Amino acid sequence: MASNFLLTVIIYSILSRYMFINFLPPVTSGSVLLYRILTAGLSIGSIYLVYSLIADIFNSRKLGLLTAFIFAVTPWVTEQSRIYSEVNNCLFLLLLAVYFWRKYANIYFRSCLTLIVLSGIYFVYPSLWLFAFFKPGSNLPKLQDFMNNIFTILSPDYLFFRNISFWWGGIKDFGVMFIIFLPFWLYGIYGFLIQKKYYFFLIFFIIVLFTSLSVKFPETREFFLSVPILSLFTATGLKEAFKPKNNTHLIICIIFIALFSYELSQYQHYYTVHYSKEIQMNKDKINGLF
Amino acid sequence: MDYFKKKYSIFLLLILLLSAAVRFAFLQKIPVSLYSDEIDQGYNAYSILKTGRDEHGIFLPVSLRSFGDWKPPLQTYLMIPFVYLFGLNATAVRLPGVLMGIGCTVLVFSISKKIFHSNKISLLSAFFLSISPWHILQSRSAMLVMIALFFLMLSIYFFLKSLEKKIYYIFTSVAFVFSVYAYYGMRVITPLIIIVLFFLYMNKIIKAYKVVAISILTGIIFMIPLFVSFTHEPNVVFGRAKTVSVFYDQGVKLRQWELITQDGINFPTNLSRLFHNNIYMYGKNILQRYFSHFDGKFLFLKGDQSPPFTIPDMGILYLADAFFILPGLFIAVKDINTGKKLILLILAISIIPAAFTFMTPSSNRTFNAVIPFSIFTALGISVILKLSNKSYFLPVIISLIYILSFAFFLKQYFIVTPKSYADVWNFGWENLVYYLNGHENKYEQVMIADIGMPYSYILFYKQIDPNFYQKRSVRSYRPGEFGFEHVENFDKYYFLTDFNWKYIKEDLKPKTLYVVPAGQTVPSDKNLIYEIKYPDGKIAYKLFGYE
Repeated sequence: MASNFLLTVIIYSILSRYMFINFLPPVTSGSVLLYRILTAGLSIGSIYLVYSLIADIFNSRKLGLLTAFIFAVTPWVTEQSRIYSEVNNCLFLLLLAVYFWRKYANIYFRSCLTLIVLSGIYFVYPSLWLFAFFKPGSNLPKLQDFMNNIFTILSPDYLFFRNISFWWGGIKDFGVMFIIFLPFWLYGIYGFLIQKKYYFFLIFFIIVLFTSLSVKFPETREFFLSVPILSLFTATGLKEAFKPKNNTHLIICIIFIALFSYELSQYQHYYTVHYSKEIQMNKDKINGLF
Repeated sequence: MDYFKKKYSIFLLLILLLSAAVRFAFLQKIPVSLYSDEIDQGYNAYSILKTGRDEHGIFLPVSLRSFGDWKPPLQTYLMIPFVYLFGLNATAVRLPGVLMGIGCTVLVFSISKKIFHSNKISLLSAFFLSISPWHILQSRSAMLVMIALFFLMLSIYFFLKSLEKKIYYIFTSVAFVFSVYAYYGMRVITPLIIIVLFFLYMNKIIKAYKVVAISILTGIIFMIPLFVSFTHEPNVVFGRAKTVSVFYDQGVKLRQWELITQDGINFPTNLSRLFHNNIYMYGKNILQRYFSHFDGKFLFLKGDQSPPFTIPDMGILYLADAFFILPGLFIAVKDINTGKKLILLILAISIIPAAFTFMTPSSNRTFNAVIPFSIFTALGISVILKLSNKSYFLPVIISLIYILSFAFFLKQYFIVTPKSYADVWNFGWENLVYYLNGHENKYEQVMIADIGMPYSYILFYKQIDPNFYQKRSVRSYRPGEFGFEHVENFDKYYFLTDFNWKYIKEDLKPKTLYVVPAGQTVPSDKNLIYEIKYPDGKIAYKLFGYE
C-alpha cells in the first residue's frame, strides 16, 4: 500500500510539473524549455529523496510518504518546479548529498561522493549570495535589515499567505505552504520539541539566518531549501492527528481532506488562470532564465 | 530561591512602585498632547458632571455618540470624579487609565498565583507587565482598552476566587458586564471568555447552579441600560464596528471583481463563484489579519504603525521577549492544565475582534493579549533560569538585557516620541486655545482647518459651558470619509473639513482669523500673525488675521 501511495505521489508530481510546461507559466525572453524540463525532473527527484531520507532517518515509511506528499503539493515547490529554478536544483543536490552520506558506510567513498555533489551547487546555483560575497564590492545587510528579514521569513504571512520571494515571477497570493497545513505544522513542531529532536530546528534556523543575510532579500529564494523540513513538521503533525480514535477525530480528518482539496483546487485554478495572466503582463520585468 | 516564598510581598510592592512610577511620571505632559479620543471623553465627563448630559445633550448616555463612533462610556464616567477633584486637564483625563494599569499589575500577579501556584512566576508576570511598553503606552493615555483589560482581568480573578467561594460568581458577572461597557471589542471577547470558562470549569459551575443563576440575573440587570438604548439606537451596540469592519473596506471586493474578470466570460460562472466567493475571500483575509498579530516584526521590531500607538524603533514587546515567549508557550502546552488552557485561550480570543477590522495588525484592539504574553515571558524566563542551576551568570545577563531594553524604551517614549511624533498626537490645538484666549476678541470669526477634531480641544481647554455648547453647536451628523461626524461651528468658531487655503485666501472675510495647516501655506502669504510649532521646531499651524 505504501508503494502504491508513493507511486500516486510521483504520478501526481509528474503531471503537475510537466503538463503544459512549455507555455504555463508563459515563456519569457529568458525561458529555455529544456531547463524547465530539467528543473521539473530534479523536483520529482527531490520528492523521492525526501521520502527515502525521512523513511530512513525516522524508520517510518508512513512519515516518509506523508512528508513527500506534503512536499510535492506545497505551492512554492510546484511553482519553482515549473520554471528554471536554481534553488530547486540546488535542493536536489543537497538532498542527494545527504542521501549518499547515509547510504554508503565507507567514510572516504561517501565523503568524496558528497563533496562532488556539493560542488555541483556552484554550477547550478551561481547566483547564491555566498558566492558573490567574496567578490569586491559585496556586503551584508545592516543589523536592522537582518532582523527584519528573519522576522519576515518566520511570519505567518510569508509562510501561509503571501510568498514575496519572487515578486514579478512568483505567486504572491499564496504562502510557502497551504493555510490548512498550519495547525498540523504547529503540532508537528511541538512533537519534535517533545521528542527533543532539536537538530532539525538547528538546520531550519541556519537556513533562515543564511537567507536573511542576503542583501537581495526578499528577492532571494534560499529559504526554499528549508521546505523539506517544513514538510516534515507538517507531516509529523498530520501523522499524529490522523489516528482516528473516535468519531470526532474522523470528522476532523474528513474536514481536513475537504478543506485541503478545496485549497489545492484554488491553487491550481490560480496557477493556470491568474498567475498565467500576471506573468503575461509582467514579462518584461522578469530577468534571467525563467 | 526560597526567599521568594517569604518575601514575595516586598517584591510585589517594589514592582507596584515601579509600575506606579513609570505610569505617573510626567503624566500631564507625556504623551505630548491629549489625543482627540482623550479630549472628547474628558469634555464629555465634564459635560455629564455639569449637566448630566453629554456633548450631544443625551442624558446619562449608555454609549457616547462622540464623533459618531459611539464610544462605550465606562472610562468617561470613571473620569468624572477626577475632573471634579482636579479640574478639566490631562491628568484628570488620564488618571483612570493609570490607576487601572497599576491595578492590572496586581491582578496579573493574583491570577498567575492561582494558576501556577508559584510566587516566582507570579512576580515575574507582574514585573514584565509593569515594564511592558505595550501596557505602559496604553496606561498613560485614556484609550478605552486599558479599562476593558482591567475589568476583564478582574472578572477572571473573581471567577477563580468563585471556585473556592461561590459568592464571587456575582462579582464575576458584574465585572464582565463592566468590561462590555468599557470597549467595543469586549462585546465579542467577553461572551467568548465566558463560554471558555464554562467549558473549562463546567463541573464546578454546574454544582453552584443557584449562585450562578443569581449572578447571570445580576449581569442581565446591569446590561438592561444597554439593551434599552439599543432598541432606540442600534449604533449604541454596533456603532464604530461598521466603519472599521473588514466588510466596510472595498479591498477584498475589488480583488474579487478583478479575479472574476480575469476568469473571462467563457469561464463557467459556477466555477468562478466556487473559486472567488465571499466566504473564501473574506475568510482568507480575516485569517491573514488574525495571524498578522503573531508577526515578529509587529511584536518585536516595528510595533504598531497606526498613530498614536507607535513607539519609534520598537515593537510592542521587547526584542528580548522573543527568546522567552516561545519556551514559555512550549512549557505551557507541554504541562497543560485548566489554568494554562485559559491563558492560551485568552490569547487566541484577544485577537479575534481585530481580525475583523481592516487596520491590522493592531496593538489597540488586541490589547488583552498583553497579559498572556507577559505570563509566557515569565514562564520562559523561569524555565531558562532553572537550566542555569545555581549559577548567577544567566540571571545577570538577562537582567542586564532587560535593563538596557527598558532604558531604551524610556528614552524612545519620554524623549523621542514627544519631540518627533507630536503631530500624531494632534499637538498644537492646546497652544491655539492659549493664543485665542489672549487675542480672539479682535475677530468675529475663527476659521479652523478640521484636522483631528479641533472643536473638542477648544471645548476642553476653554472649558466651554456644556449647556451653551449643547444648544449652540451646529453639526450635520453626516459621517465624513472615515465615518466620523464633524462639528461645523459653535459660537464664533468654524471648522472646515475640506479646508484648502489656496482657494480660501482668494476670498478672505474681514474680522476673521484663519488657522491653517503649515503644509498648505506659502512664504508669500500675507497677514501671518502667529505660528504654532511642534516640539521639534517644525511649524504645525499658521494663523492669519484679517481685522
